[in-house]
Amino acid sequence: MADFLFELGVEEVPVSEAPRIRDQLKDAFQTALEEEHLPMNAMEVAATNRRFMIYITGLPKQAQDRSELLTGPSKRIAYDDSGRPAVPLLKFLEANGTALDDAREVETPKGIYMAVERRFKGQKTHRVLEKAIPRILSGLTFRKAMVWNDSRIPFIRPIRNILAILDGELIAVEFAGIRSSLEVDGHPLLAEEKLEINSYRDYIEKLHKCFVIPGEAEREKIILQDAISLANDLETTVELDPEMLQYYVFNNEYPVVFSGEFDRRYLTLPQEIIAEFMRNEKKLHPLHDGAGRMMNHFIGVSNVPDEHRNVAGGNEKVIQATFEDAVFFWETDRTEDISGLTENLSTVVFHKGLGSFLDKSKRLQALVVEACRLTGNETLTKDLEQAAELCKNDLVTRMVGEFPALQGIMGGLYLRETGKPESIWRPVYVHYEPRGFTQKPVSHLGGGLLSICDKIDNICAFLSLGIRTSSSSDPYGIRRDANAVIKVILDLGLDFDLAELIHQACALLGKDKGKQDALQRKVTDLFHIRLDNIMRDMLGIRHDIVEAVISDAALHIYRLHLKTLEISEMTGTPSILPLIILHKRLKNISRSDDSEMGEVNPERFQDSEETILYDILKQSEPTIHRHLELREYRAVAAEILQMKPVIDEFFDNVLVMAKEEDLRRNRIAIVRKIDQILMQVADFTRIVESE
Amino acid sequence: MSVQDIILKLQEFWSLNGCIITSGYDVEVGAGTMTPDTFFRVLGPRPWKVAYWQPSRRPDDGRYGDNPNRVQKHNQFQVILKPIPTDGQSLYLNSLYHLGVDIRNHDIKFDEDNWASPSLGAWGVGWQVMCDGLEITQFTYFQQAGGKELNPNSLEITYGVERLASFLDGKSNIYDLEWGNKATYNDLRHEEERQFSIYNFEAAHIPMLRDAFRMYREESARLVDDGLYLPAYDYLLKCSHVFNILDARKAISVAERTTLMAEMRDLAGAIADLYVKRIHPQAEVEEDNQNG
Repeated sequence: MADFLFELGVEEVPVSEAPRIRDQLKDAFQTALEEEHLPMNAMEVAATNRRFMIYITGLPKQAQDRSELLTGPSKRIAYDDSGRPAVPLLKFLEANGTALDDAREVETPKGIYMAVERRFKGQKTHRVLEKAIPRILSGLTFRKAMVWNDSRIPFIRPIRNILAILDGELIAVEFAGIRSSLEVDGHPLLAEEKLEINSYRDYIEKLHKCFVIPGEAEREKIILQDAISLANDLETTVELDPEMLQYYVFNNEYPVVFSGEFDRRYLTLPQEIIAEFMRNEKKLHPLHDGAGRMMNHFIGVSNVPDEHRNVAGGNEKVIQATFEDAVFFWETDRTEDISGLTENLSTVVFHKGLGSFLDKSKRLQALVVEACRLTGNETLTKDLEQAAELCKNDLVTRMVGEFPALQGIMGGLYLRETGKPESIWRPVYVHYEPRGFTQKPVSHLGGGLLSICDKIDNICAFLSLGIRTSSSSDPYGIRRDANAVIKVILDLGLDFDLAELIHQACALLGKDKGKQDALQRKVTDLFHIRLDNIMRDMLGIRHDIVEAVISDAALHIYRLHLKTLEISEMTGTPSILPLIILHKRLKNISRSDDSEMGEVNPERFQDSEETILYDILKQSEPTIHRHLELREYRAVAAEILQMKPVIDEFFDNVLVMAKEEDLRRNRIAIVRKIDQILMQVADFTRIVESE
Repeated sequence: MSVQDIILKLQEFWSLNGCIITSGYDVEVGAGTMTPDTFFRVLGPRPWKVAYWQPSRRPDDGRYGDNPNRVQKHNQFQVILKPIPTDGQSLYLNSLYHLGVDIRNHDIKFDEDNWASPSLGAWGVGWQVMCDGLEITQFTYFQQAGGKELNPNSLEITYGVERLASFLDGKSNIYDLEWGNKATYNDLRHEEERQFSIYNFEAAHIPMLRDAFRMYREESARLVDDGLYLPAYDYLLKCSHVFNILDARKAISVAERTTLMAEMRDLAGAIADLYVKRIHPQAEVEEDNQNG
């Protein structure tokens, strides 16, 4: 058994890319070995921003020889009438370089076929890896690549070394002008020399000695422990933000947590600003006291020990200077009333061909009125109209000019400063949220409505320019915005037809009628796809159930979701199968005649079963309506299911497809009526339930 | 260590490492990258190693001399290494060591920061070098300039001289820095910061600057037609500076910005073309053949 150690040493890769590259390498090595039928015992991977390690144990030195049975033509056509091999068989043998003697018959479900056994010589592991490594490296993908040497091979950052050892022996490869060697780098600042490696154990030991902790989990543990203990010293606790933690883990090969403090007077700045400046600008983590108030202390992670407090002291100075900037923006921006900045938006282009942000804010004003009406929140209309008018004003403030991530938040804060009520500033503050489906829940109704309008306008506007999206490319955030809209609707339980809001948003873009209709279709299609996607992938709803409810052309997203939940509950109960059978029967009949839907005329009834069914249907109509209104979809289905014996009687004893046209139509009309009621819940015929 | 000592030490270090030492340019530039010694020399196949001190103007960064860290004119020390050496990062760390930085006791990090200058049609991949949380250097592998793929590529190292001085001197206010021989940064620069901030934010005459932009642009375009790419580039730099003042004055709408940037980018592209053809006449022929 052999073990294989690989390290790719690179200059600092972006932290966000490190785990992606690690995973790609892992998959690629796995595939390369599997393809050559080389089994392994275990595989270990680890990454920092400067190295990617793969360690595989239990590899054979060589793959076993193996043979594979290749099936050729059927015996029927393999020989001619006189029993001699015919063309198909001869061709097959030729293609596989085998003789007639090697061919044999095999039994398959389709009959007897001709086959040959083909032998493969097991490849040497060393050779397999030698061939695979350059291929694996050139197959890696990055968000942004660069070239740096004569090889002109694009890679994420310059490669420093390639270590590849199989059982202590170097595998000689070359990629992007770099030859593999036994040498790796230690810590970029603390290690003096290159390290020569002869085994995995040697590798781990030498790295540790040279201030590199290769294991991700080990580094994470150090960071978490030290952060908690430093917070303890300050008589508080800390829960590291997962994104920041990930950043610290990959950005430091020898993590050392430090803490620092800043002048209390900066705490008069809004906490949002302080947090934004610390996290995004300086990669420092804010600390809060037991009561949740922000403290004038922070923690950060250094890549070297900080015995002399150089690192902490330096960061303290830097964060104060940054706050000084923040104060400057906060003060200068507030010398002007943010409400008066709306006209300035005319100079800020929303997007080429889509006018300015002033145009956009006017559209938003009209759109929120519609959103309030559709969702039955008319009382919010006045305030939200104002919020819509003001929500983009912070784009012309200095703070947002300098720190775009604060958009919305700053607008809200500045409006609050000028004394606007929370019903106006809060929607502005939160209207960029959520930025996708997997975010924390939306709770503010006004903010949610403004957010929906803003995003629907974005989506309609960008799609009107013919911009396309795909799973790999969404530069205008169209899919993300659509997901966010769905999230707001579900979080806030907004029961309305989004298609109507989309209709209004398209109309506001001022295109001619034909284009408007086409655009509206595009947008509703997009939402249907997003909805389908979210329900299946994010909410884990069965594919057939999603299909059963989503066939509805309207976009009653909240209702659709409720329906999927109720139907999910019904599946697995005894009631679902009879419903499916019933619905299939109803559909088959109603589809068998393509005439227009007519009203049922009781005077044309001939059989008693018709009358009984019709009467029962009539009687339960008010109940069904009430259930539908209260969105009790299971109850609607139950109501229909109760009628099943009567319906069955009807089908068994009444000839629906009567020869007389008006008789036939009248009977089909009854069937369609029941079908339509069920369709208001779901198309049960699409549900797959085994008996 | 004083500001002038830093500059002297860096000149010494990079001279020892094979660079020619030139002066910064005498037309206002926003960054050392815009200096002809970088803009032109990274184009084409010829090797080039240069280092220079370049005062750089960013009108929008002025703070009337009140902010301890921000100034509308700061000093960059720029190094271009073409082709890219294999040990660029260690060379850089050695230069810090040469400046007296105890690199084992400071948290020096290479943080992703990809540089792009749309108006120069240039971009690169690299890092901002952080020292104890302070950005002291931009470290960039140039990929494109003047809208052209570069081959060979260049490494650009741009030190922020004031940042380095603050760090080495332990001063948190830029005006307390020693410039050299007892003179402070305040003595030399404070009044300049105050006056230029007033000018950039309040006093600059917008109609005059708009006219100036137009005239400089036309002059540059005319010189391009005459094949005089060096003076044409001077006028492009003037355009860029005037644009920055107008921008600080908040006189440029976003729509207008797109247009003006495109005009400057086109000029930069045309100027770069002329240069490449001049130093490498073959290139034009090859390009024509390829297109044909």
